[in-house]
Amino acid sequence: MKSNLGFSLTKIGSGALLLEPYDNLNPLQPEPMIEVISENLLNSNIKKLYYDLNKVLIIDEIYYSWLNTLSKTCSIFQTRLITINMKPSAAVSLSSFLNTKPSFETEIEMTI
Amino acid sequence: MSDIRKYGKSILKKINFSNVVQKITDAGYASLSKENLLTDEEVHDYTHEFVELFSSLLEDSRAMSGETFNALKHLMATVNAKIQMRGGSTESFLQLMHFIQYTFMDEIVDEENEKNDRELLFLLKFFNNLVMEAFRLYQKEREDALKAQKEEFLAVSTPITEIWDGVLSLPVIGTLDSGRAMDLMEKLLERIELRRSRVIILDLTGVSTIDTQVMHHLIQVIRATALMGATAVLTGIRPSIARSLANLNLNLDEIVTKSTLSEGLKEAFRILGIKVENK
Repeated sequence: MKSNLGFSLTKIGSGALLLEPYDNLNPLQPEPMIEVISENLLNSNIKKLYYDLNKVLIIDEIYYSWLNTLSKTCSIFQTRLITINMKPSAAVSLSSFLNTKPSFETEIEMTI
Repeated sequence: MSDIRKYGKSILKKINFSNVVQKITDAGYASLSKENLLTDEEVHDYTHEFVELFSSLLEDSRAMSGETFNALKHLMATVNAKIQMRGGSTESFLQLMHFIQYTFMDEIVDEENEKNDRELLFLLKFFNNLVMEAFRLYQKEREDALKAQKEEFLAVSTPITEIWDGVLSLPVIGTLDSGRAMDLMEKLLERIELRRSRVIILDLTGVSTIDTQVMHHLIQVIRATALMGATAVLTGIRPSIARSLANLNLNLDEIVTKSTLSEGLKEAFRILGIKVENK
């Protein structure tokens, strides 16, 4: 499913969703995105939401805040948020201000 | 050095080049050859090359900004490098340059001619400029060589090896400073992305000391590794490094540590769900 909010959602098997962000995703306005994602998680059997960071080169505090908001939303629906394919540049930028473990999980790639 | 257009040809007429070559080579043999800073052949060849290039410059003012002046600059940088390489000092090179300069100046001295002062001034400026350029070039070559050596050392001292499918090993050797830690992080993360590695063993057995700032960089390497989805296992921690780690105001729960590299490998197998048994 493609949304005009800057991301697409694809069902992977029976229990996972893949979120692929586009360049026009606006982390400063998470509410409409959270609404769409919540609709997809509600009454579904989705256990994992994979967030593909392959095209995200830098993760600054704003983007991190958006990922945290999404992670909290996922936990409401007992879904694990797992980021995959994080670029070295994004990992360096995020690790430069991060003091604790992030609230979401991280994996090299998707494992179904 | 536009003065060369005005004075080049008149200076050229006044100089007895074979006399100059003789004086410079004699002085070279007596000082540089004697101190084993240059061989007799080198003194001979360099002197002839210098005089030939210098006379071309005086003949054709356009050569000043072109290949001839460059060749002269390189020649003197080479002479300087050889002198320094063989245990000579900067002073030895400067003495040589002053001697060459005074030899040429002696050739054109004419106390009754006022124009002569300007020619002398020109020679003075020319030689000062040449010495400066030769030094600049020598310095640049030295810096380039040092940079290449440093890069070579970094590549050798941080060898990232895939010791098992999905397991990278990075034995760090020597002193870890901030620059090296950042370089290490960049190379390691690129390798994780390329090989899709899941476990990284950072072996610090060969590291003697780490200061607090570098320890922070090391923690950042471990965090960035985890963010990419891999697990970093720290092995070979010396007591002094353990002390630095403990003094940091950080939550160390996220750091997996093992005593030796082999224990680190066992931990990697455990993470990957690999069981190794004796046959």
